[in-house]
Amino acid sequence: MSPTAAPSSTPASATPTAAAVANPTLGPLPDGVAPARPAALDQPPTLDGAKAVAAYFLLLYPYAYQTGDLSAWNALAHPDCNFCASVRTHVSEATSVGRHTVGGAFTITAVKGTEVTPGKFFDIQVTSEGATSQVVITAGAVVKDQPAGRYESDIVVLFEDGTWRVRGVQPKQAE
Amino acid sequence: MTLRLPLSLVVAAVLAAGGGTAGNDPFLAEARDGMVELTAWEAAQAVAAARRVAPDQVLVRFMRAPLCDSSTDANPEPGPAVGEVVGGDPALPGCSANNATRRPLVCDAGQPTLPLWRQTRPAVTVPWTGLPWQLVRGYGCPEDVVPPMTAEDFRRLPLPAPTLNVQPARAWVLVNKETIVYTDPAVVHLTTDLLGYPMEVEATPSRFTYDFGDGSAPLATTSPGAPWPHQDTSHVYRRLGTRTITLTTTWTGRYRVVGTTVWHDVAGTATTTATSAPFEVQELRAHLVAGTCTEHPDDPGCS
Repeated sequence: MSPTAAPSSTPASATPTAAAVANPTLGPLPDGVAPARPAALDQPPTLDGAKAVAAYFLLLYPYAYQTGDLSAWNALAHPDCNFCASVRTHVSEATSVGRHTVGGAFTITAVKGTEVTPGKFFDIQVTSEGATSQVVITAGAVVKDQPAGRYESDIVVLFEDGTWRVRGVQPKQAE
Repeated sequence: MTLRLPLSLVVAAVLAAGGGTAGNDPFLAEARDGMVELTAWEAAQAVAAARRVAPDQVLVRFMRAPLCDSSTDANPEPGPAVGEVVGGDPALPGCSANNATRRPLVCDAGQPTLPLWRQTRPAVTVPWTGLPWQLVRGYGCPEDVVPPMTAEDFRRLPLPAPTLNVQPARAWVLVNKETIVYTDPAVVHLTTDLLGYPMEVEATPSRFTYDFGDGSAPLATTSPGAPWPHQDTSHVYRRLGTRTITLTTTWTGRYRVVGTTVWHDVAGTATTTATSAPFEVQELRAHLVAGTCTEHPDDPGCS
């Protein structure tokens, strides 16, 4: 509840310098730092590529809430992905009323999965931890405290017409 | 289910949901997708396609086999096939069927299904021997294999819009006084056909959004409301004029194959709308009149 929750003004392109990130592809990233776009997004479909896309997509989740920047999120979201649309709606609404999230960084602790249809349909399970976070209004006042959590997310990643898309996300609380 | 409620209503909704941790956890509160079912369905379609290939043309074959204890997540290894190998040639190497540390799931209906494995070869002349088996899907449940019902499928169903009731129920209401709205939601059961399967769908009106037609912010709630004097959804008009009220109902749904017991959530929602007849927001004023309204029906206050 400290009032030091200043609005995050770190540009999306800034490189994390102060906070050491052991593995930037697995987080946690400092507030406002965009996850690095995985090379797999520009490569032919493989299971490892799909895992990288799924992990990247989850790291975009706190980033979108922290910054309101949905461009990378929207570029990967499949039109039928309800989870993706839900995040888009919530982030846009928060932005429109001058709110954003401070904290809530994700750490990816495990990624596994299978290639269900070769070169096309990948079922990826990502285990992640989300840090505590606060919803703040731009002036700095805390609107809401949000808990930390551990999650297991079933993420289907599709490679269709030469493009990666996240078809859907089914999260649950990890035991 | 997407929550788009004013803050006060969000608090109410969380309380109504039992105040569990998921209610306060933004990640778990996002709308979700039925990816377990979608993956199970995709795998089942692949096996069905392999079954249709002539034996001398088979390039892909499938088997059900346990996951070896010696497996790692990055390198899953199958035990011996259990039952049919789709594509033929059941003589398979593999670890002993030891899945003591790889617990299968507990299913709602029936026994868990063993992991599904796939072997591919570049040409029919290439022998299967030595080619790797790839894990397609781990332990699953028989009930997961259902045609996926999308939000679009759900929206195509003929859902009856719940009635919009307005009190006072007449052609005019008073400015600066409460105008009450409520509805009479009922769970709807429908049957439909999805990819050739008969489906039972249960649709539940779960959120109600009233637009009062005066430019004020819509009222969104999970409460269906009630008539006076038990109302909890109402609006006070501050300006005179002709208004209509629109009720948008958001439906959530679940579905199952007819004859089975396990429900699956529909990913996404549908909406219906109901609109009131136009009415006047009026003001009542005291007027001094020269006679009775019977004598002067057009005088102010006599209409």
